[in-house]
Amino acid sequence: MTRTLFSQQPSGGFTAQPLLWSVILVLALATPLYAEAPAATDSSAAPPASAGSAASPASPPPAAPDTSARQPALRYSSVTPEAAAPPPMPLLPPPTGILSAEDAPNDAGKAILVTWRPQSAPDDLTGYRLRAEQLKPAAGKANEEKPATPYVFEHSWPANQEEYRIVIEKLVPGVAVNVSVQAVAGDRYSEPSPVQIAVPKGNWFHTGKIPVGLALAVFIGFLLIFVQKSRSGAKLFVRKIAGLEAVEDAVGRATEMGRSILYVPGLSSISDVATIASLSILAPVARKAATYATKLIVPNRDPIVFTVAREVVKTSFNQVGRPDLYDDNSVFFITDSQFGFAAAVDGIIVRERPATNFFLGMFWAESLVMAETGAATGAIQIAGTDAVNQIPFFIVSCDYTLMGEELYAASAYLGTEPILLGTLKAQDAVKLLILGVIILGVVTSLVGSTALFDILRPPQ
Amino acid sequence: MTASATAWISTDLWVWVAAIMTLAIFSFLYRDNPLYKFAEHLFVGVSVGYAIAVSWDRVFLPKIWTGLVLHRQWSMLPPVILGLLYISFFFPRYTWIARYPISFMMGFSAGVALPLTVVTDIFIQTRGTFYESNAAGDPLAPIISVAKFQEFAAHPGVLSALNALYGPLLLLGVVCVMLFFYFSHEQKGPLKVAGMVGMVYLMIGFGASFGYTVMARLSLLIGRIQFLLGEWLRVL
Repeated sequence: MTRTLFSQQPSGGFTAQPLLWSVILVLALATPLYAEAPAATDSSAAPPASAGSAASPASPPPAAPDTSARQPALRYSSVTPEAAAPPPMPLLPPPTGILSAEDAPNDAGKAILVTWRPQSAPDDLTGYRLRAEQLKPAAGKANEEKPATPYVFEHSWPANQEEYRIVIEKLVPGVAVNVSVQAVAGDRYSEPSPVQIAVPKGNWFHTGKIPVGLALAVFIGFLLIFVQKSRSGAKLFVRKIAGLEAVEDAVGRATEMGRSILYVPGLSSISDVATIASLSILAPVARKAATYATKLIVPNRDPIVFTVAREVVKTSFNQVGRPDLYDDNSVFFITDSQFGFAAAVDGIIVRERPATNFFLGMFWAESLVMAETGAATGAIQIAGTDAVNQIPFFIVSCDYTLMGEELYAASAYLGTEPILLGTLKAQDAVKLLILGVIILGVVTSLVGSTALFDILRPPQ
Repeated sequence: MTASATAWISTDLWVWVAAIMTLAIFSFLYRDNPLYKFAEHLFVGVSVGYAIAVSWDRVFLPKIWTGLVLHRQWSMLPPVILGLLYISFFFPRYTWIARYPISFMMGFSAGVALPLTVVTDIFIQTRGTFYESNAAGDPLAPIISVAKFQEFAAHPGVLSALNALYGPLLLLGVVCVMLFFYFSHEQKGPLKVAGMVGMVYLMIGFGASFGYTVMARLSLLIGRIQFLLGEWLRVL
């Protein structure tokens, strides 16, 4: 065709007209096939009168270009099938149902709760697609020039439920969130449903934690009662605990042998209850060590625990009137590496050869490494932890082991302070209360009630 | 194959370092010696150095330098001030100042730990003693139920017997162990019996835990021996 156009030039030379025609032809071929091509483009696709054999002078004047007749030829003959885009799929009708979006309860204002209850659905429905969008304002003074960024959350649900619920998190408090739902049938989507708007807000109170608050209130109530009783001079009985009876003997043994006492307050942080219990026991042990002028070594793994332990030991030495015996270097930080700490404590045990080793607090896999080394040196060892997996190792390698609750009771047992004694008695009272709750729970479960079970549900 | 893979012993420097350090630590099984001391001090030194680098990279740079200094995030200021108060340790006259961050940390930690302890150690354990639940925490079936005994009566067998007795045994164990840890009364009479039963439960549990953990430790030892004989000496 192009060759015909060029050959029909009267002069036989290269002029602008054939080039113009070829450019127009290329543009026509490049026009999206399924879109309506402009009239000029369509007409350009037809051969010009001077070039076509059908445009003879005897022929009737050419009719208006018939685009409907020419487009299929363009569509299927001039473009390879790979380059052709698929024809558009018909849209599904918007889903019908009840879409609700509201602030999620009991949170810090970064979540909303979306509920979708579909009412009718097409037969070929395969699911729903949820879309939530929030315009997150730019944060920080340094980002003032940055525009707000949209945060888009999308989630797909299968089409087999009567109701769908989801909590969308990581939102910005106080900024509206637009929520909509689309029906999905295979690879077809519907128009979005009408948009629902929710604004996430923070809550001052977590109502799901009310049972926890009540439980704490009961415990604190018991605590106040027993502390008051203890302060008023009432004699509160605490039965003997073998491991704690041995503390006095263990310190005395170290004194007699002229060797030191090693006290490891566990490897956990200060937020661990076992660590706090251990530091409470460290005080009376340090007082005894100061009284008998026995060297006390307290290696630490946690920097915060180290600072607290140092204060505890220093205060204890002051309390018994022996600040001169306190050595800053006796309480020290080693490393926060678990087995680096264990290796260092092993080194201390074999080089210093303490007569008594205390391993009280939270321990992990290093418990046996340290306790076995201590046993090999012949030291008397008192261990205590609430780590259930480590208690067996302490039992086989130590002379006395405080198991779980005994560790918590130790500080009250060793001291005579009313607050600690009141705490121990309050713990016992709470234990009896829990036993009562368990028995009540068993009875109610036998009659099929889950009320108590639900009350004790952990807050979400 | 590479030359190092076909050699009769590893030619990788780091494999050699790891192997020598492993043997140095193992030498402690014989007695304390200079090789162990070297490995111990190297281990401690490297771990402290690594911790400092991590603190610098993960805490100081993003939170203090970028957050507070560059972006003026004033919420970072209180923890920075509390942290700086610890430096008073180096000045004997002002050591008392460090008690403020210590008190804050103790109070904060206890406050965080208390509700969590109530939920995990009391609520979840208590409800699990009388009702089975699924992963979402919804009730499935009572731990103790008449139906299980009826099932045992209808189909006597070891499995149905264990299924029926599981609940009562669990309840007995929980009650007796809790009474073992009851300190307000002398363990005499029924309390002593309950305490002894509780102790039996504890020892059975500890024994099972001990055996399980020893097996895990042996697998760690096997891993190191495989490294020495395989990756290092190439005899495996």
